[in-house]
Amino acid sequence: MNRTAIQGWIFAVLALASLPFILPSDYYLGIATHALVLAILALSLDILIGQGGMSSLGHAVYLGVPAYAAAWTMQNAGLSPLPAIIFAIALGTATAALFAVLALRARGLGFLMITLALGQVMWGAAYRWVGLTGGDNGIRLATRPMVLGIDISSVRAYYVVVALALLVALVCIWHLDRSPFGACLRGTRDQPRRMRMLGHDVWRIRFLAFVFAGFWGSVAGVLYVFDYLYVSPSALSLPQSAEALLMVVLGGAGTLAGPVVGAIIITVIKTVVSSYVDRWYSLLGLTFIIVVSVMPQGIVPGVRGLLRGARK
Amino acid sequence: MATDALIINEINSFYGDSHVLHNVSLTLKEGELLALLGRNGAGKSTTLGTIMGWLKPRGGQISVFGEQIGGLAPELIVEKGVALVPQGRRVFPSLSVRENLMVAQIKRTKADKWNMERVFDTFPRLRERRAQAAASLSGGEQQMLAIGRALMSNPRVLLMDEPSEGLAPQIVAEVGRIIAGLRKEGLSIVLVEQNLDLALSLADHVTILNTGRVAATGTASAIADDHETLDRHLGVF
Repeated sequence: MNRTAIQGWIFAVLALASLPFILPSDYYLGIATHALVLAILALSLDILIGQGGMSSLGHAVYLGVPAYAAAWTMQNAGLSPLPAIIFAIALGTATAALFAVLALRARGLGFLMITLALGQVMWGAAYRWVGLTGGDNGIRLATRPMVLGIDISSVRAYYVVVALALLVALVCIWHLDRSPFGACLRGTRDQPRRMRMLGHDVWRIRFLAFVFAGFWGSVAGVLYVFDYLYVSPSALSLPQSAEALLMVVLGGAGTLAGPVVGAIIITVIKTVVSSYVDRWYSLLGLTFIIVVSVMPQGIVPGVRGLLRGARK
Repeated sequence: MATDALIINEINSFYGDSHVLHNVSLTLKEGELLALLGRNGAGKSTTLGTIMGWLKPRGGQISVFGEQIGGLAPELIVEKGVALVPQGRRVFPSLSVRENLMVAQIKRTKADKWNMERVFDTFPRLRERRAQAAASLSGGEQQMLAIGRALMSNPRVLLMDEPSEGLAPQIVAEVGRIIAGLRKEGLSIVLVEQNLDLALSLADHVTILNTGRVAATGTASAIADDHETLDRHLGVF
């Protein structure tokens, strides 16, 4: 591990640990929690985009499906929280495996359109299949459940859970990035033909990456439903998928910090700034245009470049 | 008698409708180096591409140490022990030197000769630069990385497509020494080269292609002395 990496990790841990003490109220800590849940979703999407070179517009599927699964099994099947969580993550990951088989028949724009279509199918099902999903009303949970005997009902306790989950996700994805598999995945992104020439099954590498991304998306999905205590078709919607994509692109694809930074900025604009500014959607658009024209690689690589320039 | 490492028997290859290789046959004996020569467009790279499985030959057989590989997918042909050092090097620019080698390190068994340490021992300059992105290497270093990467899959037959292309003369000499060293260790090599002197100095046998057909074949010394053949098919002398 080099010095920059160590500094980065220390900063991440300190920042996450100090937020509950810095933020003025539980309201803001709640927003921070929302941001971190979406940061995990964005990180999982970046496995596909940044490392795998596969841009997906259907990643909200892995947020919504496990969120519905956890809520439904607890509400209607009477499952206790832990089995419900495990089932939800397993179902989300299995959905990713199935959709990977369908989407990986194409590359580039075709891949994008298939993921978009699959996302819309799931959104349509959630919206129309009222008997299962409650349709537009969604499924509401009364309280945040006890998990493993730990009370996570307070905003602070739940923040700690999400922050720890984010750290675990960061460590796992960082590890993936540095592993031989990570090198193979970036190899397939850059030169798929060359990878076959080295004896690799390119499809298999992409499939595993897709499933891995689906797994971490599902973790975000379970955290999402316990965060809002509510899930509706919007969790599966195209705007939700697009937002995740925007977070990755804004923060910087292919970096560990980028998706987290993107998730925080977009959540802050959506929740905090929108209470002061009516046209916050325009503001979001404007932010995006400015960042992309000034730092086409995203904020994190852009700032890194500026710092390197300043040092010289 | 040496066994045959690679036999190509009467293969025909096509790019779409255009017939590129016409009944090409060649034989590489174990532990030898076969130079595959010819002008631009003679079919040298196409022959390598057909061996690697990029082009499916219509008719004919390709076998590696007696095993048929004609028509297999490239990744399966690699498993049979064939590796390619591609023309223009084609390292993964955004991966580090270490990662470039790591990517090639698949399905290893304990008896394998090549690992990262050994590649670094063979190419000390790669060890110095192991954490650098491959894009930042010089042409010669990228060529060494491409060779090292091919060796990481522990090939029994190594195909090299113009390893001296675009390199400074002293680097060409170094690459030549490396290839000679690999051959000395018993690796069977097919070398495609435009640099005639380099190819003739390294090769045991030579096959010359002209417009997709085998024009001449023989020992390196016989071909080197056959000025008429060299003149007619390669345009030298």
